[in-house]
Amino acid sequence: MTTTVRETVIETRCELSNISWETYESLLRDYENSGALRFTYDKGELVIMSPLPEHEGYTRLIELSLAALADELDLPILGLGSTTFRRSDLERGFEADAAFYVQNLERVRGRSTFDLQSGPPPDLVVEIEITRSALDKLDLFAAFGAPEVWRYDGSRLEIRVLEVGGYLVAAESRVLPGATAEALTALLAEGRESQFVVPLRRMREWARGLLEEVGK
Amino acid sequence: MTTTVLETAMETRFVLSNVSWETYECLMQDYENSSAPRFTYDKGRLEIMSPLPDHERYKRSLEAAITIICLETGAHAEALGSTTYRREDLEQGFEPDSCYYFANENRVAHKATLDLCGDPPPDLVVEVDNTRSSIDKLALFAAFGVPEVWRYDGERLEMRTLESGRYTEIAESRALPGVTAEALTRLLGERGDARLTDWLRAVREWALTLAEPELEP
Repeated sequence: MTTTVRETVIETRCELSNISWETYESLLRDYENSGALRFTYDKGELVIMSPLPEHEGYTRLIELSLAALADELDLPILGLGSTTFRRSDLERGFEADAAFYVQNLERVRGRSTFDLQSGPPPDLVVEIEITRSALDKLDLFAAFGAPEVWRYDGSRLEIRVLEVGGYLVAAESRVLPGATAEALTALLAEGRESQFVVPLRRMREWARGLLEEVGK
Repeated sequence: MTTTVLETAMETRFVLSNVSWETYECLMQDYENSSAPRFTYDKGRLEIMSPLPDHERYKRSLEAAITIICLETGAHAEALGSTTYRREDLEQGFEPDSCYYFANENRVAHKATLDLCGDPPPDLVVEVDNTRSSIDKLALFAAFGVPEVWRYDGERLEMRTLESGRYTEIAESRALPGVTAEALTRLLGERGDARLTDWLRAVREWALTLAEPELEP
């Protein structure tokens, strides 16, 4: 007997060209109350991504580690998750895996939409890129003026800070002093080992350890 | 013993489940002059299908075979390819791999745009795919009143005809009398190893037998 198994190709990413700003806005309206998909738009190019569980695992770990660290630093922080940041004047828009206001927190407190023609971009944008995007996201974030980007590719976390010529790799965060690419990489590896079950207590320990090291 | 054969997919699909009719219309406008990817819309659910080479190979081969059949049998046909069919009243829309008008050929010939409130649906829709769509395409074609559907999955060609709102499998086409699912399955099976021109010649030879009048005993 022969059974034919057809490869099921359910893509987790879809790339479309020639998409108008109107279509992009219309899609965002359809998905306004659903965080299930991420839309990135760059002058006609649209990437739709549905994140895998592993992807979400890393995102939550980074969010928790940031919360723990900000707490130790006594720094107020606003996490906006995958809020849509868009600028019709640039014909660009994105939904990061996570986005934070720290230094510019007071300027956006209480805002409900982030059409960024007025107001500052998020201070920190986090991107989990297990599979690479066709769009140059750094170029996109630079157009918005986001001061810092953290990228994680499944094995290494990279910190990049915005300078005049673009994003430069940095060993330590400027937004959250004490957070180093090395320490974050180690924490994410630990999270993966434990199948993303990391107690809050451990997060605090990690943050304290980091700051002690800096204090040395 | 069971042998498992892993077939290569002929297309990739991406599904969005909360899409409004307005967004679908915007998208169709963006893609007005493009046949790939192909969009199917069913009450909020949007499927985006990108064909892979095998998909296009079989689609083109079937189209060529239909053209040859029409030439050799003298059937009048209008081919509208992957024209977008959409009806806001049904909240449904589709772009077939290929579609044809035979009986209704004179009603759509030379038309630049179709208005599906007045213009008829295609007499025949041809679909090539070997991965499962998340949308019930047959129900969609039935809603539009498409009388006949051919589907080829890389192994078998199936013909279906619409009867009181449902499709039933048939052995011989009603749109193109004499053409059987078996003959097309056999011909398409020979397509894989053959050169296109050699294959077309074989199709023509076969099509000639369709045109020959039955010999009186």
